[in-house]
Amino acid sequence: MKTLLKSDNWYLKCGAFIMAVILLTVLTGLFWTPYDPNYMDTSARLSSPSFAHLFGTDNFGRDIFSRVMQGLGTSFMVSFCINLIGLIIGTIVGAAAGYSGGLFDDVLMRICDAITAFPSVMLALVIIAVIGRGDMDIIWILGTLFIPSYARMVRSEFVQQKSCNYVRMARLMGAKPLRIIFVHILPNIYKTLLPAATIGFNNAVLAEASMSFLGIGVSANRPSLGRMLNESQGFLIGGAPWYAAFVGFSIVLLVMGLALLGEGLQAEQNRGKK
Amino acid sequence: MKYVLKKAINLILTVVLVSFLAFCAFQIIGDPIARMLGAEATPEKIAQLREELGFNRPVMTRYLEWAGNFLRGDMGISYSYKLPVAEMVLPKLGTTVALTLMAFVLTCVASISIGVFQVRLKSARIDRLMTVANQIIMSIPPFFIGILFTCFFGLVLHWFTPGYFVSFKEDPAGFFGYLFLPAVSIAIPKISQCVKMLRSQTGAELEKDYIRTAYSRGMNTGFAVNYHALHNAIIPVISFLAVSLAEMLASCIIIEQIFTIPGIGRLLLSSISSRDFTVVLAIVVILVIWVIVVNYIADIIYPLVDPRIKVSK
Repeated sequence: MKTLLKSDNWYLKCGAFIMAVILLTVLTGLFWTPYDPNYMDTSARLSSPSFAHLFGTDNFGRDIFSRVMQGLGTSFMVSFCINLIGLIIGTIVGAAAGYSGGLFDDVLMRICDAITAFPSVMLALVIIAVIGRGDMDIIWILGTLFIPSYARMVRSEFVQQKSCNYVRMARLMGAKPLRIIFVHILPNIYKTLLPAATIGFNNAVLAEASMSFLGIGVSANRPSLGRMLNESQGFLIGGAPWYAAFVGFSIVLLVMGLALLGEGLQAEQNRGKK
Repeated sequence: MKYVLKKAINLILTVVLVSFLAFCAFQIIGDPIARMLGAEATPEKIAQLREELGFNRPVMTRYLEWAGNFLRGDMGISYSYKLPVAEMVLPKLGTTVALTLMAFVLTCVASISIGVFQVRLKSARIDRLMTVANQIIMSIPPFFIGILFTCFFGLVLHWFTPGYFVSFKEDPAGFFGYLFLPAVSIAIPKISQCVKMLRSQTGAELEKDYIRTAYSRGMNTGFAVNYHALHNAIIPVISFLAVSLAEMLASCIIIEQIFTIPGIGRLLLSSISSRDFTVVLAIVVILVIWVIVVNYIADIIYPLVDPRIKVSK
């Protein structure tokens, strides 16, 4: 904490600050919100921001601030899960491909290349078109689409590390491949993984927001930022332009916090290399 | 030349493979028969209709027939509108392609000129200011930019009427005028990504040995930036631009919703929700071909802009 405050890495500082604020909001939103986010107060439809309703209310009289708090939580959790699926499976696939090499490696990497060639939102739309959707399907679908980029990165790290002396030593001492992969190599590459995972998180937030903006997110009764932004579009004229503004800026804040954090971690890591 | 040809064969094979996979997927899941008959469906009627429509033949022959028709411009008939799919898709495809290309041209022109401007800046303060502004702009997703634009230019300044789209045939100038703001909202995040990339690439180039040699021969900073570093720094930016053409298509799908442009993205979404699979299949295959062709062009461009990349044989 002290080193963070003293560091001149402004990306990391600002990113950590924004993310701390967001995390605090999300955690608070889990236990307490000023109003029930789904309570419809018909007497206060589309009221402008005031002390009673910090961000105003929407067309059903629901408190936008409470909804943003919970929507932020939904976006955060959904993108976190998407990212986690991509990270874990991607690491396993990348490790297997990079460590074993040969035909297995080639085939896996070609598949990854093919998937990464397509924009993830577009592919997710297509997959949903084919298999239909349930409440949480979006997490699995987007999570799967995040696997290849991680797999590629982990693989290239593994290919580099494989020929290092410490790995050879371990092999000489009779360590099994699984042990070498998880106990020896993985701890050595997590520093590269960390910034990449943050940037992946950022992409996941964007993808999730785009999907729920198109009405294909998690279920409708849970507030989600993308869907709220979509709903707010109808009230730009005369009604409630602040609705779109508050929801949109909270997405921007989340994206920006993660981008800065990723950037900062990357810079920190490059500094370590020099 | 050999490289181009080899890549072209690869391209065709990929398109065939992917379209076959898409076709199979839609055949397995999107069986339209029960849906077409609706409430009157009886097992006999279903069997009869299956026979009539040729659904009992093997997948391979049906795929070949479908692909042949597709190439001739016959994409089947929409289940819900009973219209030829080609008639529904092709005019909208034109709009989407126009929008994407506009966004692409804007990105290329703006990002390279802004990036070069920033790199050549003498004042560190303005450079820092631009970096901060860039970082903020980069975090705004295209759909929010679109909403801000409709609000500001449409509802406050009345420069255009949101939702009042004019087709190219009626009024070409109005058509491009209407597409301008959507194109800008697609382009802005890409522009700031490119500018940032160009900035950091030039910074990295300036630390390299050949620049130091140039300095030792008495070259000043301006010359080193303009004639040495920029040349090398721009290469990855160009390849990034080529690849981002595919991503812009995805942003198009979303932006079309905001500006209510009757493009292929709107059609795709509405066909998905009405489960109109012939339309979805046609659009998916077109999108896939688009992405594959764009990546193919990017692959061909790499060795042209960067002679260091050896064409692998």
